[in-house]
Amino acid sequence: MTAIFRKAFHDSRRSAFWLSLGFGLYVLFLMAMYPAVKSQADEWQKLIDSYPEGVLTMFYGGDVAEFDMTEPGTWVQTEFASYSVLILGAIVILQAFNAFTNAERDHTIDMLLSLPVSRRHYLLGRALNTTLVMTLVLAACLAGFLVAMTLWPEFDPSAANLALGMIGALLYLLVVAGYSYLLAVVVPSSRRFAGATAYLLLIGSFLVYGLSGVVESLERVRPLLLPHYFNMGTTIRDGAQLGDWAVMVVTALAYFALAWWRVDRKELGV
Amino acid sequence: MAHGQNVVIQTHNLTHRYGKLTAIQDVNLTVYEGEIFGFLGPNGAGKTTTIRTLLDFIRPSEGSATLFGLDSVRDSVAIRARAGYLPSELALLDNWTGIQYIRWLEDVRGATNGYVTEAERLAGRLDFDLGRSLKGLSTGMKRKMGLIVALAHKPELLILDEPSTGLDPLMQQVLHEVMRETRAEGRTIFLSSHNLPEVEAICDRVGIIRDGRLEAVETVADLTRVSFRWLTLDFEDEVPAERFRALPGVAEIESDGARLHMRVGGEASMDAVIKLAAQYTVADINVEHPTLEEIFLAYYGKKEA
Repeated sequence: MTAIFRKAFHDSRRSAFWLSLGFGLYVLFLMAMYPAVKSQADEWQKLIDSYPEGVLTMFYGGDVAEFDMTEPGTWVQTEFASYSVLILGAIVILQAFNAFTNAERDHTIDMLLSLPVSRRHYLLGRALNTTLVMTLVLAACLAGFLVAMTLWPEFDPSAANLALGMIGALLYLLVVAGYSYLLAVVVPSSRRFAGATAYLLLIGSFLVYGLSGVVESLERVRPLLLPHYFNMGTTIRDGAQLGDWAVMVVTALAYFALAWWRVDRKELGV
Repeated sequence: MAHGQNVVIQTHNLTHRYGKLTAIQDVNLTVYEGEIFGFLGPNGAGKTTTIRTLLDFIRPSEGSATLFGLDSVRDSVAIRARAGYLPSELALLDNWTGIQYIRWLEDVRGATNGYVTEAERLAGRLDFDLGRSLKGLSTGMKRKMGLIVALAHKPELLILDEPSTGLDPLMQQVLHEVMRETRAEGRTIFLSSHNLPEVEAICDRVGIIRDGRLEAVETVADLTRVSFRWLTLDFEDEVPAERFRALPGVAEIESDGARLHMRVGGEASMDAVIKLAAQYTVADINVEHPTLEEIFLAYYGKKEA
């Protein structure tokens, strides 16, 4: 299993590096704007007040009654977290499908599984690699925020809560990884809908969750949607949302357990 | 080549279905230690499906298989530790150089006893530079690396799926030598091929699979007995076809002026045909091996007779 993990990380180390660097720089770029936003708080608030509440709800995801763009948590959530988990989620999905569906299509899985490696260890090695890559990228983001706190003292959230926010993001991504690996394992690689389904779940849940804040009939589905359990702004303000974390941990573990069980019954090869 | 009586591969009514399509049905096969067993069949006959079932990439829909007495599903990891495999559609993990890949495989296989040295020896034999990147290799080069990977841990069982594909004739000879040496060391080779001359040249016994069913298991000597060649002779002038038709083992003769096309069975017949042809001025000779389908027909014709 460690050999599979090592190989997977070797293959993704460059993308992990560039992703980490890119996201770290993106954070710094974003935070470079923050002092200007903070210094023009009144103008921003007027602008925000002019937005329809529905639009704000859709894009913020949390309670907009006390929406303050210049508050560090809100800034990080709206400008960084809400979109970043979608981008990183897409990468997680790609990694999961590279491990099985694409490896079956290009026949690389034949060479791997002709070695004395069990399918479950293969799954575990690949999933661990996904976790490590995402951890590195989020760590780079955290580093970017910490540097920003030094460069621009106006940005003054709790560093510990920022770290907790990143942990929340990692759990969110692990749920995405869980259902992606499950889909990659369950759906035969000859079928082309599995990857599309995974992307649909990622983007669709984000969009439906946004709509559910303004469309009353959708309100009841909110607890079924992943974005309901992750708001980095709230974590930065109030600390760890343990209940939400527990839901994400249990969900991710359930998906991985199903994938773990099912991979041993998978027909490999197109 | 005599083989031992220890069974390395045994299948019992091995069947695999892809949905409604039955890829292999009731395959009963026994491969003994120390033999080169040829698994012969046209494309789509079920050769690769059988191999994939043996290696537990896919599961039997019915029946079972044992390798080294171990169940192919339950004990697949233990089996793969003792086997080497070269797939027909080879895709290497290509983000490494050859030697990096070999070192990684050494780690995966937990092989400490001269694994890299053996890989380097094989690379020398196959004229492959382990220092080069595995990215962008030609088909032939990929197969060389695949062979090194399959052989470097000195497996007790070597499963080769169409191993000569993409290798030039010289390298095919080297491959055959390596296979003979492997057999001489008492190890077993299961060789899938649709190439009859290759199977005749290297194998001890041959299983013939057609439409997913194992039609026959024969020694190569028996297979050669029912085998024949298509011979085309071009002469300077027209020759009497009836003189050739009268020779034993010559059949299906067609005459087209100075060209004769005939089916010639058995070595003695070929000798007689060549000696008769030598009485005329020969412009060209072309010998073709029969197709597998023709071998099947010849084999069943003989059996029914």
